[in-house]
Amino acid sequence: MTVLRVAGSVGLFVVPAVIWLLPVRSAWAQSIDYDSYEKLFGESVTASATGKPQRLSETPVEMDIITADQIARSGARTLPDILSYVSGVNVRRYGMQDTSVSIRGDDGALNRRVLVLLDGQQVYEDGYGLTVWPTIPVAIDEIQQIEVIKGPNAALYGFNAVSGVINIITRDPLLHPQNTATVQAGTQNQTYGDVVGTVGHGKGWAVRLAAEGNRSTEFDGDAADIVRQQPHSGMVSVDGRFKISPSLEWDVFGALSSLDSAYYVDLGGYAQVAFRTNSVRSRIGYDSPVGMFHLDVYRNEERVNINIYGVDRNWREDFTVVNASDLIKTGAHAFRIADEYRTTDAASLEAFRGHLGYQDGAGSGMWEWSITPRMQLTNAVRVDTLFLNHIGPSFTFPGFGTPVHATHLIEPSFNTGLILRPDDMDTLRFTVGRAAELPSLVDFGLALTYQPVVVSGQSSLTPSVATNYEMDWDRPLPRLLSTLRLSAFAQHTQSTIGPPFGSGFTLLPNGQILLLARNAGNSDEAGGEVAIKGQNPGGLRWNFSYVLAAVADRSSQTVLASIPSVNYQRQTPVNAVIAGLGYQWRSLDVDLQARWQSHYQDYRRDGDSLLAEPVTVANYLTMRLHVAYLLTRTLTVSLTADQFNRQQMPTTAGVPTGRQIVGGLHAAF
Amino acid sequence: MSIWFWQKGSRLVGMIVMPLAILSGVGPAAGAEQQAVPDLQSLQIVARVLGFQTKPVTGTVTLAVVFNPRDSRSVKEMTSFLSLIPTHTSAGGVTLQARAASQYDLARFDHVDAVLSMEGVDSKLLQAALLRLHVPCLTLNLSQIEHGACMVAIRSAPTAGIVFNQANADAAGVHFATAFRMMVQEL
Repeated sequence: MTVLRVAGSVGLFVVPAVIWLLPVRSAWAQSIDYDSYEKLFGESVTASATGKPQRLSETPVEMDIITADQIARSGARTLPDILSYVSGVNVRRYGMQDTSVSIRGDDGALNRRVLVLLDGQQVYEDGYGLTVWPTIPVAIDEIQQIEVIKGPNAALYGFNAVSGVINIITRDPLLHPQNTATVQAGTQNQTYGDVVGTVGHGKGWAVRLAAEGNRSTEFDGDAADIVRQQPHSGMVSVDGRFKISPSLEWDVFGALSSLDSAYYVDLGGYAQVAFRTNSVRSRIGYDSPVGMFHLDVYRNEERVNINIYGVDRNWREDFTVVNASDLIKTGAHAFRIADEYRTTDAASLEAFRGHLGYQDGAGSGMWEWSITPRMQLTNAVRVDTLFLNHIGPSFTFPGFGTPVHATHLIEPSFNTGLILRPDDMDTLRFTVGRAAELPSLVDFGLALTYQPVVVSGQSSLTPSVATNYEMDWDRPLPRLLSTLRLSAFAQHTQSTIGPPFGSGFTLLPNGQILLLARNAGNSDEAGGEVAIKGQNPGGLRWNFSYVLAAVADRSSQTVLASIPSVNYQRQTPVNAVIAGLGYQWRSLDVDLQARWQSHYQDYRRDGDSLLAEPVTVANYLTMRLHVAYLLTRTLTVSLTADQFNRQQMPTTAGVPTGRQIVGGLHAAF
Repeated sequence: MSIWFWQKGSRLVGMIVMPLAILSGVGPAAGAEQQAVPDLQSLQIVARVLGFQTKPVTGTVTLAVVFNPRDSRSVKEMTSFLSLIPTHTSAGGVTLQARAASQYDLARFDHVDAVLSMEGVDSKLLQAALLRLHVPCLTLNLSQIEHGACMVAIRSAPTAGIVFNQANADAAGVHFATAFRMMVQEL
């Protein structure tokens, strides 16, 4: 450990010094103008794969980018709804505002293996290990593009970028001022509205204000405790960007958001939750003589109220991240070095017996080498050093001693990618990556007592480490005006993590029932994807994809039965097919998307025995139709029919999802 | 005869890549090494690239289409470009206004915003003009940035491609945005 610390310190100073000596030329700061670069190269651009701006076809990861145009054409007004027709992404909908999003299998009601970011800022919640999508402080109209990385990318982002990363990129108000408003209403008593406005554009600064609200009546179904409830969410945000000099930009961001809803938790049933979040961020970009330097500081705070077994529990969680990075390019080589410090704390006497948190220091480096114009090698590595500590009265129960105590982890991760272009048409990617899923704070040290039930985390849990091997092939098909992607991957995951509520029961000597977080066995997965999409100049668009995700859990059946949350083999639909057709004619835009997926197994807790019962969700087909008509230059009217092919359909172990028909009006000034 | 970018190092690539490509069921596409020819998309790329300078140009831009009057291929390329420009000149907030310029006359030009260099243009004459004008030089011919004074080589098909020579840009006092440099192939 000491050696690593010293090595990290040396690296911190030596690497920048070495890079200083390289023949780097000075440059000037400019935000990435996504629209202009997309038009220049004829494809989307991103900085989410390696931290370096690059064309989508040159990223050493498998990535899909959903552009603002595609989002508008989808008719979706929530992030999970947008993602539900992306190949390789599975969206489980447990309620109007309760969704879980997974990438390439390893599904669950609370997906903890997908890291979700907003402009690179983590919105994944470390406390419970989930993403509460309605509290992400972004209005749909603000989004420039959504970047979906499939497979691990922990060498750039650290813990929990295991199954993939979703980075939501907002428009830069300095480059693209916007003034828009949207209202929608429809079945399920849905009402939705958002407004986005920008001031100061063209003066070297611009501030964008956004607000969004969403309310509806919950789906009908047999989960009587949540029927007729009215889940609702809202957010306000302000994003100011200031060009202080040609080489210096400052971005300051602040947001508030909230959600009140029933939420299907890993217990196998609904809990009433209320989330209140706030976040602030400051980001400086400086084009220095030694590269593009970024200093990013942000803090997220979340207040959680959760009602389980009829008992209210509250906690406050916050985390602060400081990240400094430098990116340089010299000839055929690009380097990125970064240091990150993160502190996370959850505070609650009733849930954590005080404060539980950790400090994480990480150093990372990326080296991209264009060996020849047709061959590019990217290597990235990151080492996290984490100290977990608990402040407060100790928590004990018979037979297990003290499960929560200070501990220390060192976790390396890496990504390697080789890109080959044997000719002007084909792109081949060979990638290997290692990433770790960190136990959440609840896994590490929840300490709850519901007489006669004790729910506990334990600090001795180990991160679950996944190693992924992958090969992708991209090829344009000029005669079909389409592009083709084939990908195949194999992944090995060690020591999956069962959260306390999803890890079964143990009878204590004193007669109490213990729910204890624990590591389970290994899990293997293999799969692939065939995707084709294209469009013609006449306005016709099409897409088709088939995704295979076959998981084989290596834990014993006894373990999997007692820890249903890590029964990934049963919980992952093996096959999924997405097909879509769109057409634009003058002011009319029509888009039809269909998704079929094979059966999978969810679970539900029996109210009497408290045992988890498997629930088989049969294969299903769901379809979305969106029709939009441009009434005037500023006004668009639209109609979206989600799941229009079935009035009601079970898609999870929760309430069945219902058909939704929503009409809307969108104004862009 | 223009030489396109990716030919450099193709033998090494072939030795290493092709076995992998064959294993993957991938063969080289017929006619993959295409010669760059003037087309509308090339002009749009020219216009957009000018917008990625650190002091981006907007509005109407005077583009000197430089050719060698003693080289028939050069004259043909110039004629092709000029035939395209009158009707399709705008992209990325830039409108191209083209002027044919013999390589011998370029030194006498008082004001141009950018240079588009044709095949066969003498690199020394071009270099002398760029040192005086301090404007970006773009070309379809890779050799002109590898061995000449131009700084940006472009192609439009089968996919957009840009190769950049930082030394030539520095010599002419021309600067491009960092993000642009990150996304293009640099010599």
